[in-house]
Amino acid sequence: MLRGVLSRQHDEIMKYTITINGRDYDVEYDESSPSKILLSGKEMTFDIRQGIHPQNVSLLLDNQSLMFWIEKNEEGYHAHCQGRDFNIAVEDARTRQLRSLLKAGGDKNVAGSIRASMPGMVVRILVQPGDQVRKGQGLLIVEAMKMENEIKSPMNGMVKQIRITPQKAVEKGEMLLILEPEASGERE
Amino acid sequence: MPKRIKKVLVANRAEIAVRVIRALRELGITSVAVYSDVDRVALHTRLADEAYHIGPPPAIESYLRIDKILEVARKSRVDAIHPGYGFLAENPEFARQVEDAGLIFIGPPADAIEAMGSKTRARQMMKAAGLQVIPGAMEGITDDKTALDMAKQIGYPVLIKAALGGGGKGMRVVTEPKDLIHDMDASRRESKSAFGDETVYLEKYLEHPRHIEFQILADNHGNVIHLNERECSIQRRHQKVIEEAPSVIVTPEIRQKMGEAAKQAAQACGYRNAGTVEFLVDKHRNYYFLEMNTRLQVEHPVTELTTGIDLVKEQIAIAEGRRLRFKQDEIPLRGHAIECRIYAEDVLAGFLPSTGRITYLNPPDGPGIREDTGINEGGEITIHYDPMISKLLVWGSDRHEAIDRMIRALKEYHLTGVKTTIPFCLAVMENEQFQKGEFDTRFVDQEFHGTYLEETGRQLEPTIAVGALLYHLRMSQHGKLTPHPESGAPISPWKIHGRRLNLDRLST
Repeated sequence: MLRGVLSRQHDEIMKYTITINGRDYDVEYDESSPSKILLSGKEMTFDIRQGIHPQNVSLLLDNQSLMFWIEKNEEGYHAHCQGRDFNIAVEDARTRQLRSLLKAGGDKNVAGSIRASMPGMVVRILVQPGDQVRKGQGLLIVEAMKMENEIKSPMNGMVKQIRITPQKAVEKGEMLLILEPEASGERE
Repeated sequence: MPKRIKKVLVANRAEIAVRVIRALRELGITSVAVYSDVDRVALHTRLADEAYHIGPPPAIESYLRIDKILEVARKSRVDAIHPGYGFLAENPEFARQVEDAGLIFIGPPADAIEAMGSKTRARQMMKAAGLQVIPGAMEGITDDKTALDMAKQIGYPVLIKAALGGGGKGMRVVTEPKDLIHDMDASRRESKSAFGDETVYLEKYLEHPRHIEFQILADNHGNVIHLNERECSIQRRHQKVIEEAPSVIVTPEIRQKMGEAAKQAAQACGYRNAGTVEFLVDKHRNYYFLEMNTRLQVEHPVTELTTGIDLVKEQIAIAEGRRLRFKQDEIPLRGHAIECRIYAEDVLAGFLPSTGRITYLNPPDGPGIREDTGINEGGEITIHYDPMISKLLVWGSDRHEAIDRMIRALKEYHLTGVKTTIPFCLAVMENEQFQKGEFDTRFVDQEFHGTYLEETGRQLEPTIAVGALLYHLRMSQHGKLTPHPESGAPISPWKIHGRRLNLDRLST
């Protein structure tokens, strides 16, 4: 019966790709059908509720009970379920198509900026502007919670700019220094 | 003549402060907490009978300020101070000043702390007492040449250790001579920052060692007992993350021998109160004195669960001058206990601290579970303090039951806002080598791979995909998950009727 509904009111069905820990799952959802959903083409019945905390979710999917905790973040969603972590991205079919077209047009990697992965204190800078660095070479030392962490270069390249000074606190995500990636094929 | 303790200042924060306050409350002793600016609403501040502000968030300006803590002690008229672990717990100067102020320090004498606080001095003392120590330097190394010569003599890999170190801080394994000087400098800086001293030395890095430690109790009347061992071989960054008792490799004979050695170590340094003697055990079951921790350990509840003895209460009884209530042959060993430390850390990013606010917290309960925590929902993990959130413990009639119970408990543990070591602990519990008891201190490096975490949850992913999509759509459209009548939201009955008619029409 529902299949009939889905095929007749074609414009209401939305197709989505849910990417979890790098794997894709296809889910189709029809706004007018409040308890049915298609997972990888298979029709399933669902009942979803949340607790006082909106991120506390109970899902019955074909009567299989699953409790999980879900929160929005910069990349999409993060869920915690049965002691495991799940990084989730939700994308509708149209956006996905658009993105794949854009990607084909040239995926330029300009990621030469090194950012702080946690808040802390810059203890020492091990390089100077103009230095050639190799992948894995230490760039600077950041201390957080009394532990020293050496930030290593993710690539071969040259130190273009240093954005921080020693003995200064840095925030998470703060730009530490900028590397100019070595053109592929050169040296090495 | 025992002196009754009626009021105690707990010179610590978080989990251990809460643990001590709970023991005090059960004993009918008034508790006094101290707190920094960011800990005004922390659990320990709220749970204590009295609480006093001692300064800004950095520990150096608050929890490490001996003068401020003693000022609170005077003002609140306590009889004794419990230091917990970390902060001032192993600072002999603190113990001395507490006693000079006419108060009882619930811990060992300052001299014992001082002797064992220097790893090099402890090595000298234990060697003299007849214990076997790990080959290496017996004193601090300051010049490069001595370091290189010593490393060459004992053979690579070598371990750089901070003489005043603890908790893995300042510690580094060096496999090649070219890294030695660079790594020693890094250790010196880390040690200077964490312990205010840059003395480092070298030890042979033992292959395949297991970390086994003995809990001891010593009273002021010369009685010393041990309360069996704890195995703490599951470590990351040289820090324990999972502990258990008993150890799978300790037979009653080994227990008796190592237990005697531990008591000997305690006697050699004039120890009193609760302490722990740590050993490294090689694959031939040779054991070497590693160090003595002159305080209550993080993992002490593992011993409490398998002996039924409350170590904090024993500490207080000893501090009051009472004789030990137990003889060695009265110490039971019942069942098996495991502790998982739940840290706010990003496991996949190499166990980097993960700061933030705990937005949701619902720890497991049910049979055989103990959870020692110092934080509540809404609490914040900051860069100022250790990122440990809580200690999850289970007891089982045997190791097998304890592991199954821990898996169940970890799956029930719900916490959001920061990344935690829960998925990691679960991976260890499900690991075959761990279950067989065949592991050593390099377990995490050898057995643990980040991808494992992403693989094990795989069968849950399709269902979570559905849940995530529904959450995404409905929260963005309606701000809640159940926009239809079952949600209890007011909705016109006419609308329901109309909708039903529509559905009927569609389904025919």
